[in-house]
Amino acid sequence: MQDTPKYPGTVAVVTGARKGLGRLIAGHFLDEGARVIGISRGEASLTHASYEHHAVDVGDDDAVRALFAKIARSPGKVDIVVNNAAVLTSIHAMLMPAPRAEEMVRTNFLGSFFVSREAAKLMRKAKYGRIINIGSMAATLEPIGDSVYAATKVASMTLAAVLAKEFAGYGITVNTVAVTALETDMLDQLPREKVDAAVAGLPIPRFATPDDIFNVVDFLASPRSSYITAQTVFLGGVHS
Amino acid sequence: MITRDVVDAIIFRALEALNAERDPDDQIEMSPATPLFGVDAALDSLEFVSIITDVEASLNVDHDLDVSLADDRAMSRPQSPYATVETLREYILEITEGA
Repeated sequence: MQDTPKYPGTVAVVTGARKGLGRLIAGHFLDEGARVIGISRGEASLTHASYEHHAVDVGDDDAVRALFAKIARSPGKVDIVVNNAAVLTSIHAMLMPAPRAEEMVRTNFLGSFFVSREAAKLMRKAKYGRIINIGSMAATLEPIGDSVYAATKVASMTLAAVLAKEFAGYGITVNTVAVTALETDMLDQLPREKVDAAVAGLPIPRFATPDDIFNVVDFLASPRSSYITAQTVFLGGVHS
Repeated sequence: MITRDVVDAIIFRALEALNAERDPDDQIEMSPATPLFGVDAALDSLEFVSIITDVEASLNVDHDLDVSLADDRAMSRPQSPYATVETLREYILEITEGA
């Protein structure tokens, strides 16, 4: 932790906080002095005095609403939301089972919408909020096998752009950080040679580090970033 | 169970919050007949969003009633429950009955 933490008195909601990038981001916010509310379908994997975990499926609208009703009572505010929860099934379109496709749409896209909608209702009162979606290089690289996953990530970017307009009057910004490959368990679902080839084709041909991502998250989460909304920041030189 | 007077008070409190941000000569009338939604609405679209979310929040936080005022039931009615303060109040009483 640095001498001067970035997020004292700040409440951050992180979805998909049990593992992978979500867990890393939740830990980063905790290290920087935030109170973190983690959401995932499974039980908590983080233990910290400033961390509370809720086993909620972000794709379940009723469950998300009920959770934010609790948050409205205590702590009564949300400053930052990181929509990170995502699932990935990588398989040729002709072989994609409908339930897997629907799960990706529900979690990756609708989950971001449900959480953003409920968080914005709380942020509105404070006239302040930072909503950050975790996007993917798949949105522009359009990898074979990732038809539905990539489409959900593009849809999330469009969602962010429209929400940015609807929420701007309330001091809420909505942006996306589109990450490249990071060594997380999600990568285990992809053929290693496919990932390596994608990374080798990047302008900066290496895997992302957690700090690469924290750097952009901190930038978008900063109170100084009040004039930055509806933007997607791609890592590694990927561009649209 | 929440009463009619309590619901009216919640809605009027939300309207008062909007009036606090309006010009003195452009105040929303505090009346059961005040139109909230539709062609005759006294509110613009953002103010309408504010009313619905403020009322939802008050029902949740102050009265422990986790209700959605913008769900399928509300949207699919032939007559909008948002038409006036009175129709909104009656809709809230209906969906919270027994809660």
